[in-house]
Amino acid sequence: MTTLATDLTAPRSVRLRLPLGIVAGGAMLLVMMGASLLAPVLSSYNPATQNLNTMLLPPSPSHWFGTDNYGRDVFTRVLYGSAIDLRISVLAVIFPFVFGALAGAVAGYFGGWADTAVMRTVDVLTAVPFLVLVIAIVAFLGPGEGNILIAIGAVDWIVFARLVRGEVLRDKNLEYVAALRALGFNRWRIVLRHLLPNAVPPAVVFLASDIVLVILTTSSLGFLGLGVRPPAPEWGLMISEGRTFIYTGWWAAAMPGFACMYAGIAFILLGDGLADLLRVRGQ
Amino acid sequence: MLRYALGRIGQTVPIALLVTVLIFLLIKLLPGDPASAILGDRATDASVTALRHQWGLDRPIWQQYLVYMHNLATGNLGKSLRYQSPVTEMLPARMAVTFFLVTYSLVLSVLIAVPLALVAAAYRNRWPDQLIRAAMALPLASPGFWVGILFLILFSLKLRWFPAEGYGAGFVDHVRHLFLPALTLSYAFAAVLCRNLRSSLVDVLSTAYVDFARAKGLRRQVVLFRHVFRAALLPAVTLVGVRLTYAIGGSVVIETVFAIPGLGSWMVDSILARDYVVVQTLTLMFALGTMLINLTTDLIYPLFDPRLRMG
Amino acid sequence: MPIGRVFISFVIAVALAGSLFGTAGAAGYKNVIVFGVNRAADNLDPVTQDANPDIWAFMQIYQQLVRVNVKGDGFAPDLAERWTVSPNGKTWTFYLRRDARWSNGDPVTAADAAWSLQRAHDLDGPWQWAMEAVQAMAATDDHTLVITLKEPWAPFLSDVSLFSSSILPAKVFRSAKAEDIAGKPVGSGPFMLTEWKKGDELVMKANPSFFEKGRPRTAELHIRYIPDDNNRMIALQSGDLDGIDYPPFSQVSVLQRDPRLDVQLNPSTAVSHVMLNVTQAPLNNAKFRQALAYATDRAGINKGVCYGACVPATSFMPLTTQYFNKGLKAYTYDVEKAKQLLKESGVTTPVTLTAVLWSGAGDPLTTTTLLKGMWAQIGVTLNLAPLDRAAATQRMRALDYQVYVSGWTNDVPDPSELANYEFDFVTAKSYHTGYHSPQMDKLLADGMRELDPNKRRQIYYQIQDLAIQDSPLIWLYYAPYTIAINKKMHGFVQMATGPWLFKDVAVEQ
Repeated sequence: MTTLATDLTAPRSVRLRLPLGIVAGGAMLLVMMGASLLAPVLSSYNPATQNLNTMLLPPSPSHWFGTDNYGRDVFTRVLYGSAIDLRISVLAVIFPFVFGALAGAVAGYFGGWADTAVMRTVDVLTAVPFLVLVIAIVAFLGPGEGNILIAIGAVDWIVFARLVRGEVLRDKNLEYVAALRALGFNRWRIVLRHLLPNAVPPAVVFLASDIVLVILTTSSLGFLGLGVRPPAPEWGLMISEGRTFIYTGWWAAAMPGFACMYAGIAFILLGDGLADLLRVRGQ
Repeated sequence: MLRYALGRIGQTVPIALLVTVLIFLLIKLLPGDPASAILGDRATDASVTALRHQWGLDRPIWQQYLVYMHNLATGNLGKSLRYQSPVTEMLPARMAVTFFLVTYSLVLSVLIAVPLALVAAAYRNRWPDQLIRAAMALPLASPGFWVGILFLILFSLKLRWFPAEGYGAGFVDHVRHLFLPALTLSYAFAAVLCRNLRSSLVDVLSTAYVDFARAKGLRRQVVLFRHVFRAALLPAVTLVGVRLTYAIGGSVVIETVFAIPGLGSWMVDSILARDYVVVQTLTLMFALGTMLINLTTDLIYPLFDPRLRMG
Repeated sequence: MPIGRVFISFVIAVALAGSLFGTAGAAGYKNVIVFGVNRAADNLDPVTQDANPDIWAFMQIYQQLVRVNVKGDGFAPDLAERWTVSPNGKTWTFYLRRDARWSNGDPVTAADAAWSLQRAHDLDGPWQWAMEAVQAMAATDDHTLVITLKEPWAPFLSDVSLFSSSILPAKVFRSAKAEDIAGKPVGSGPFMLTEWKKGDELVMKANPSFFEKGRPRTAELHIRYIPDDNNRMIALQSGDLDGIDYPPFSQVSVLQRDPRLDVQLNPSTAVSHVMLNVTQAPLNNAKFRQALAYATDRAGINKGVCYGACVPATSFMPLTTQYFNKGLKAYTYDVEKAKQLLKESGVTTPVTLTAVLWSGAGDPLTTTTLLKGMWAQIGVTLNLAPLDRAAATQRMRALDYQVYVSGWTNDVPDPSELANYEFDFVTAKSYHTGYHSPQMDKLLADGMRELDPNKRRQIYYQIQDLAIQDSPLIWLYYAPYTIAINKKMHGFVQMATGPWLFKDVAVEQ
């Protein structure tokens, strides 16, 4: 069993070509991150400045995505919003990823009591639809960015735990693990240093599609008024505010939705690409 | 088979109990004293004390849970503070709406996904396949409520084909009123179903016994339908179960977009009105629904899989 | 492919089924009025509720002794045919009409009225003040009610006309539980509640015993809750609804372009304002508050919130209130003056204020967002803290806020209700601003007791002047009620106090 990195640098590997998904998805992501960082340069407008003389203007050369009901430039707000949505989504999956992977590895390797505790918790959290549980937790904690992160973190780790546990269960009886044990290595060291790195790749693939789910969840919370506070240019919130004007200014709700979709596609491609890469590795 | 079913049901019971613990604990997330938070600022000290006593908040937490379970067991699902009426009074009508919506979206998803998957698999790696695969990637990345709003603009506002709100009266009217919301829900549902059905069709198509059937001289369509499709259904059934629970979650948002009087819009309304008892009970209802679906999927599964049926 | 064909025919069938469905009725008119509203009624007890959706719904079911006229500037008989007041102003006698019946067929008696008003007097609720002046009530016979007051009370007829003074059947409710009064109303008005799908629809049928013959004209009234403005508007345009309340100002011009619709901007008794918590620095500084008032562009808010449909506010009183001072000039929009006052106030800039509001609030959210932009020009940063509705209200009432955008709807033409709520610390902490002024207290007390209309006018003029000078609130605009109805709906009236009158409504097929 080799790790991902060694496989790529191996001299025999003639096909150094990265899967299309990684190239395309990565490029889309880089464009978006660049745009959100360079937003002040790319747009001469301020995302918060209102102008009652430019209310609900349709898309034009001076306002690419039109303006909203406060006369704010929608393109500018979508750009600044990408920083908010990306930040929340990435932060929201990091904790569940780390915690889920650790919990899964421990459950898989040690089995018994630890396994039962982790897997029953996973079962319980699986029994409530993801979005319903996240909404319910935010409902009780109250709206706001911190509470979104808590709510998603509390629920989202279960898939990572399940994936990593499966891998660890498969690998723990392999010869090299037995050898390590025979050599008297500490059990924790075996799990964390040897089993976990090999068990993580499928979870990394899932990470990409999980970010999509979290982006959609974050924007749903914004839409329901349970998310980030206005007047922040969060995409879901923008869609929610813009939908009042679907008669006179469809762009105010449509454009942030397209941005959301763009981000989603970027991560889906990335995920597909990572999966391809792993399949190559597997062969 | 019976043993398998009983065993599977037996596994569900402890999980269901643990779920009630989780949902019981939800209310503990409220900052401060739940009773005062729930009764709001107009509450008198006496009513706060009364509610604390009624819920046993003045007792140790395990006793509080027993009180909660006792209430559930006796069919007392709590009282909506906003409407001053028991949740059970409003529950059946609302549940029927959400059930109709979710079932409807399942039907639409199958109607959309199956033909597309068959076409894609039949024309594997040629342009119809690539077109379908690309088109089916979009739904996974689009927020459901946004798609709902776009449907609303297109089909209700511009074309005037479908109503923009409500449930209607009578079956035909339900079908008409819930078409757009069900379509919105099935948008992502159908995409996943189509992707997975296509790949399992492709897998089955490349197996030996299909070649054998072809060699027997059976027509291509017959092979595709009679042999391949059946074999490919198995993974799809499990997937339908998983996606149904997503659809239940999605219904919370979609019912709000289309102003449909189901459980989901009730939940959102109750959150905004701080009717926490209702939020808690509805979360429980959604969980029970999900567990029921998961159980049903697992019980149906062997009917499709001969290996499990025999074992 | 058969499956494809099945799918297409299914879609067509669904679409066709839609177009065939409609409500049939006699003589070219529909049997049912379906009216879409933006907020749901929760509780139909007239004495304990203070939200418009509840009030406007139970006003279809209950009658009062006297009712405010449609324009909102005088009174009309309702259950009482006529009334007299003794020369000392302390004894009021109401003569009830003899043909009034409850929807269960029983006659409406003076004893019912006495019981109902006594309940309104005794029950701790938001409207208890309305019966505060009452000493005793007695039914001298089946149709005569005598009310004795502690002292002469100028706004008493207003108080009797208030929705909380609705008359309920004593026999039905005397020993009823609170939730039955809240959920199973029985009244003498044009409609009776037959089914309540909570959070969805109120189904009402014509009260067969309603005293006005031939009314209501339509057999059923459905009040349907559709929170989103777009869903409501589209449903109206597609004919699923006969009328809707509160189409947003931004969409009024769009709906006006639809030839099938009648878009109404009905005069209201509403005033929108910004509340300032005057118990905390720097908002305890009157000059600072005046600076904010000068920095507030009312015309801009009228444009940004009402799309020009409102009237910038010049007094705390709504336009239709008695003794509204038409000659009054409020703060002009003057950034320089505001900066100067800010300097004089001694408050050091930059100042940061926080506005509490409820997420999902439409116009208050827009207004607050606009104020943020306007006040920034004088160095005041306004941050927005959206909370859920109940939490926002709770913080506002606990004076745990700095800035809060809200509004008032007057329920009676008399100015005393609003003046007391707004500036009397005891009634409601001066509209939850914490404002307390002995000079104002004296004027308010005089206004309640003075019976001479000219002298009362002078008192309320002084109150309006003092209010602007002290500015515990900044008054923004007078908004009309927006209503859109299908032109096939005839006879619809919205009162200036808000409630709709459906008894004369008939909807063509």
